[in-house]
Amino acid sequence: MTDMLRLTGVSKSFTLHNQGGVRLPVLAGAHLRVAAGECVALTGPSGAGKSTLMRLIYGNYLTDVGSIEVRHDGGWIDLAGADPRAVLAVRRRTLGYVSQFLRVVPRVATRDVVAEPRIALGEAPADARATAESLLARLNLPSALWDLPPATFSGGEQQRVNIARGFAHPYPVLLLDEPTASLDGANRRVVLDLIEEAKDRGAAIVGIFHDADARGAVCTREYEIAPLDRAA
Amino acid sequence: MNAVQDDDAPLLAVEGLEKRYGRRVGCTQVDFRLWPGEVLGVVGESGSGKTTVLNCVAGRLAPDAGRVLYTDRTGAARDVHGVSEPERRMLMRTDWAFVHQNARDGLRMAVSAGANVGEPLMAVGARHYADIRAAAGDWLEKTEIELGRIDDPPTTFSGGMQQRLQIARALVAGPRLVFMDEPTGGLDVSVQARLLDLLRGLVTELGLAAVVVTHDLAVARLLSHRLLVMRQGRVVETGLTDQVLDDPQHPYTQLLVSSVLQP
Repeated sequence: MTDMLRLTGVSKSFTLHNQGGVRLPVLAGAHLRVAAGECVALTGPSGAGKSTLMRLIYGNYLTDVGSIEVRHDGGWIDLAGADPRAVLAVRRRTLGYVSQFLRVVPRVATRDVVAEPRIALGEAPADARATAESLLARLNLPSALWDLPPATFSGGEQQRVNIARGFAHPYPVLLLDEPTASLDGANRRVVLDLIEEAKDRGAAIVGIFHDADARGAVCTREYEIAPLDRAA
Repeated sequence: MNAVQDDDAPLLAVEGLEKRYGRRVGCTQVDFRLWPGEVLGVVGESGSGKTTVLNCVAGRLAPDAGRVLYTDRTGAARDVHGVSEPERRMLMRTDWAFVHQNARDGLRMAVSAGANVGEPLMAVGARHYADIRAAAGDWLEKTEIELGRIDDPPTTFSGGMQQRLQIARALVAGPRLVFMDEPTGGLDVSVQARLLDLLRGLVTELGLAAVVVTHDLAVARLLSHRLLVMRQGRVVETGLTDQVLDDPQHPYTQLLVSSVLQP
């Protein structure tokens, strides 16, 4: 299978300048390769650095050491140290991220929140909105909510909006942070189906799944992150 | 080995910009580039030099050192402070727009809303009254101002409406580059949200490049692709907006980010 994502010797620590320059190492020497069609579950105890690794891959955390290469537009690009504009281009076309929290502009309607990644890629707004609606319907979000901004929705509803947005564009590489948390059985099933379909079309997926059944159902492999000795 | 090519020309290249007010440093050693379609946020507290940078880059204030190069529609690089005053004024009319924190600084308060929006079109040569009025009406609609208010002067508008009218006036002539100084400052939170949504939509829809000065990190996060963090006249950190805010590297940025109240 074709590799889509290659992490080599990735290390990360945080230096807290306003707390006496304390240095917190969170991740050391992470190596991971993910091929098209694979779904790799990050495992390890809480605080081991699973979410940190996801953010390093997405680029909202800076990588101290190592490389994070993504196959993008037919070539490889190392996101560690890449120009911000290059990171944005990779995020637009190649790298999707379903985080645990939805961060949106206050007044934007749910339908547009979901359609935005496709519109950003140049699709006609009407077509992008149609795709958004079919995803929202599939995730059982009542159509009466589509015109409303998701800010006032319940946790489970927001999570489904977030998932719909993350799956609106068929990203070749996808990061999923607890995609089934706060969902009921039926919606959990829909999300697992979406993940299976993404694998079938050749997406490389990295995810955090506390739900062991969900993990067992969709993940092809696990990658354990051992906590670092904080005293070091 | 990076597959993403960077050979397209930046719209704006700022090199070694410095401005002094007597012995006090307004800004120094400021360098950045801005590409078409990109929104750059400039953050920092009051007195950090962010407005000085904005005014120098926008051609409103002459720097003491450094230069600002603007790539015009023909692809030629123009030295913003090197060209003649009439040339600079022409650029400001045809290619650039400026949105002030205080709407009154960007509007003519004594004339109607329609005239405020129509004027920039006449300044670039539009002569046909019906066309100008239609375009003004169009922009009032885009900025969510009722068409019925077209003949009212902005003095009769609320603060949020005045700010939206200023945006309509700034964008009506089709600029490529917009400078904004605290565009949501001084507005109620609910009004801010509406304006932010509007600005974000217009910038994306029109493919505008923008430099946005704000002290509000939430505004910076929602509007800008990249950030420049300023302190005491210098740029202390730059990067992708969410990276600078989620993983700030400089002690000052860390302090700034950790000082924000979370509602």
